[in-house]
Amino acid sequence: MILSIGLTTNLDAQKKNKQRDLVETVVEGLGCPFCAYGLEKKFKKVKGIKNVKIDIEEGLFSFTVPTENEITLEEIDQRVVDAGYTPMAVKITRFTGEVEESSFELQDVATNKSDEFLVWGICDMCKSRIERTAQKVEGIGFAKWDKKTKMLKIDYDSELTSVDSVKQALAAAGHDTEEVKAVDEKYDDLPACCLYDRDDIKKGTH
Amino acid sequence: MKFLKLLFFQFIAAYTFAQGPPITGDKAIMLSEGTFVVKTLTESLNTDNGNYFYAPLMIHYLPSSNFLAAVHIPYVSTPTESGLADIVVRGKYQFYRNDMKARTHRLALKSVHWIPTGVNTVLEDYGNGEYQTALTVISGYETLKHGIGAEFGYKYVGGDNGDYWIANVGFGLPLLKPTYPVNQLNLYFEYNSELFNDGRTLINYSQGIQYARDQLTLDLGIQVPLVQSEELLIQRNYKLLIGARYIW
Repeated sequence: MILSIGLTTNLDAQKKNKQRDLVETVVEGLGCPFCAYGLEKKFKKVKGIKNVKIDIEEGLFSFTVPTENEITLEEIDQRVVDAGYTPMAVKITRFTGEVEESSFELQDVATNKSDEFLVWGICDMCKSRIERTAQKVEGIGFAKWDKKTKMLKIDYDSELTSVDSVKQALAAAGHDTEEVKAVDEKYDDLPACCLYDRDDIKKGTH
Repeated sequence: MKFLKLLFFQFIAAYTFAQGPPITGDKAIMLSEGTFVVKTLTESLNTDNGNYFYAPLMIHYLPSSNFLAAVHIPYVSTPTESGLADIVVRGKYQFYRNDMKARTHRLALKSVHWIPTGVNTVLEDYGNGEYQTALTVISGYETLKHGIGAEFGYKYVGGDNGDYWIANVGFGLPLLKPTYPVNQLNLYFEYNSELFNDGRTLINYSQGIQYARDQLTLDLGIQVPLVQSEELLIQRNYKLLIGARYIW
């Protein structure tokens, strides 16, 4: 009886292990083959990872993981960042056929409104983060930040999102706007080159 | 002046086709968090005073993708004595990163310390019996087809020999199409300069070849002085370099 239950459990585990999710990502910053090694190394720690493929010319990185891992878009995004590269899009095709995606490229939405507002940042890394964060908000069709003027221009579908939603998302990523400030922990988490002067905001200068 | 012009045009020309990490210089692009690199770059230096042999064991570790800590434990042999050379401790912090499709530009700050643990070789890089330290900024721009690494900074040299400015530039020509898993054959062209405050100058040119397969890289090179002030204590003729590095 016990043996029978044990075998059933083992068979279930094996079956689950055969059920795999396909992960496909687009990564920026792979300037040489060793960069690809660094990326793969970071993902080797994911339990059961297999079928790793990296196309360094296109920045395409794909692999499969057991479904039971329940890997998330956020986990993949974070691992790419920890490896020292920039994730541009992540797609998970679950064993069941269900697809989850997070893209930092332009969404295909019909925009009906444009706005422009101040976002504090300082460098090209800030620019990349601000634009990616804005583009991740559902309903944003276009986002471009000017490093000199600190102005973020967005085109969006006002039925799906609002300026305030974008400002909240930017604050969560560590970037202050005039109305919504990032909490200190988020600001402190920014890389050294991105630590803009918060005193300028208090003085109203930029 | 002619030499500087030549150097400038080589620099510009290199920008259009170069790619890869330098052999004698350093790079701003770092590998993933938790990576170890064990390497050596053995040098056989021929001078007017005789031959020097320098063989360091270098251990590098990246606790994060933008910070590297390293220790170098070298053996040195001079015309008069041999033994442990000065142990070198270094830290590198990448403070700027701009990633694009199949290319990246990084900047890093590097601090190097020579601890006077070894024999006095008179040559600063191998140890002169005094504490030395250097602070440099490294820039690296790499694409699959173009790339260049440059380093600029200042070195404090204990003792009487005087401090100097460091200016290095290195670039490589990939002979194989960049692929992953790693299978690379690169030619290297590197300039390393020491510009002393009292006007003495040493500019070396290195020519090397590098083969990398998976996690193992092998380096072979020769270095010759292009400009060498007569006032320098030791006059160099050439240096042979042979190295290997393994990452995991």
